[in-house]
Amino acid sequence: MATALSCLLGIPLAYVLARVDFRGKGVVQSIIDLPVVIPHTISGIALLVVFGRMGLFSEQMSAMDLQFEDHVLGIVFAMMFVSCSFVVNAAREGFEAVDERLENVARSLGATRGEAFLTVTIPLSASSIITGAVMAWARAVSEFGAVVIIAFFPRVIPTLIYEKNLHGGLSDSMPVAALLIVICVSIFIVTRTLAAIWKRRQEEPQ
Amino acid sequence: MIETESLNYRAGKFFMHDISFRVDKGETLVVLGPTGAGKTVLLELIAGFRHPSSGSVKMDGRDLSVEPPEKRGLGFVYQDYLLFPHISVRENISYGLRAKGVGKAEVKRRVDAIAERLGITHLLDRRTRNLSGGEQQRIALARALILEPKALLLDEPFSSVDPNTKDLLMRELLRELGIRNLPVIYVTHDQVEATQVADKVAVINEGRIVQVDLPEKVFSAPKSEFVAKFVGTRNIFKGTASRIDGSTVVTIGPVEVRSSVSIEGKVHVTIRPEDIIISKDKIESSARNNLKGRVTSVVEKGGIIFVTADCGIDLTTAITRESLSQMRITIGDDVYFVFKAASVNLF
Repeated sequence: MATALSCLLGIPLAYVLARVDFRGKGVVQSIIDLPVVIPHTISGIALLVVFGRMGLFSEQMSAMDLQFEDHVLGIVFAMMFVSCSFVVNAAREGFEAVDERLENVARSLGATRGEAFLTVTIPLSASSIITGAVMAWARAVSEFGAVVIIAFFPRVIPTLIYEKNLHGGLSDSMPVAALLIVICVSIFIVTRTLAAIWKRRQEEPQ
Repeated sequence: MIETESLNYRAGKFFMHDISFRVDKGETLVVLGPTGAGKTVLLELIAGFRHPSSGSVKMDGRDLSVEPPEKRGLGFVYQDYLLFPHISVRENISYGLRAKGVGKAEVKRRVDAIAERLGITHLLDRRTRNLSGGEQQRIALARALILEPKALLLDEPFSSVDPNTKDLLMRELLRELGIRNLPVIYVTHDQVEATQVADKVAVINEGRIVQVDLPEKVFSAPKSEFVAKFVGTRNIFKGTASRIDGSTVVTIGPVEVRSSVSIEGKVHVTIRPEDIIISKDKIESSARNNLKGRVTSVVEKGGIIFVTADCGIDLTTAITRESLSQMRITIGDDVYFVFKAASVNLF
């Protein structure tokens, strides 16, 4: 869910970053990169300060009946915050590699800007976007620092492992950890294989 | 009819100033200029990929400048053709029809028809990778023409084609343009191409149009030093060739020259200046062409002297500074121009 949201918001942003020059582009770019470099506990604290029960937007949030702290929404938001940059950066690189004149040609053939984007730009940068999304997903699944601060409950796998380890020691936490590893490895294998098949199809001479 | 009214454009250090011209139905305007003169930018302004800072583009009186590219109905072919690499040749050609929501059966019928006309039916199910320049050009042309555009914008359409296929493709292009009666704007830096397709030539340099004229006028009566330097170093004519006694005689206005190229009918004639020998006295030579004329200009460019004489047609020869001072040629002198039949190129 966090990955889907990241893609939904991140891909258009990446397109703008790739195609449009505007003032403050550097600042926007830095903000996107920020979650990668700062410790994730800081991300969690920052989110808590802004969106928590005592946070800056607490009134507006309760007015909208939204709750982040100790809630699934908070977890999703924390995951998005730390993983979004992977999607944005990968998609931006993908878009930059697509010749802008291909979009021009599509438009001269009667496609609107949106149609040209969906039928030409997205297919040509698909492998970058998929890679970015997988990285973002991987980051989100293994996120501990930000999640543990904003929402210890309900538990996600890393916090569950942490808790099991605290209370029952290694023997209790190991099965969950092993499960996470198995899930991650299988997802990686599946996406890599799909990407390879996709690439081969693109490069077929006939 | 497509026309531009004092288009101005600026991007960084690059400027386009006050570009105004009109191209009627069935007419081809060649925009001729050196690399970096702003030729492609001009086409992109007309197509709507870039926005002029002032001025307008009009199609049959309707202002196109306010419309997005997809609404302008103009065909555009880039010099590197830019076929969509992720879809097949058929999907490339049908892209525009599909964007318009034309039904499947109709799309197939029209793609098959245009592919047959252009001789690319065998390529339809292939991907666009590994196609030759000529094949790509035909596909790009089909992709644009299938929509029956109101005008066609061509950006150096032959720059990625090898010289052997160029003649064939040029004939095909002229045939396609001939039956469509469209205004065409054709960008190139090649004067030979310009004479082959142009009804009018606009010479462009540093973002300005420096001369718009009939092609013969641009080449024979350049109005500025830039135009003269850019176009004035080549002998290009239109003529009629006929085969007489096993050799080719070409009539160019009042003059007849012999060529070793065996073709007949309306032709373009080029003679490289360095292939013409100049002499003040009549010389006996095995060369088949010997024309008498009066020197009208002596111009130096890059250490080479270009001497032009009116021999009924304006012929230019290139000589070294040394031979100029030996022969003491000045404007008004009577001279003989001698060149071999093999030096007279016809196409």
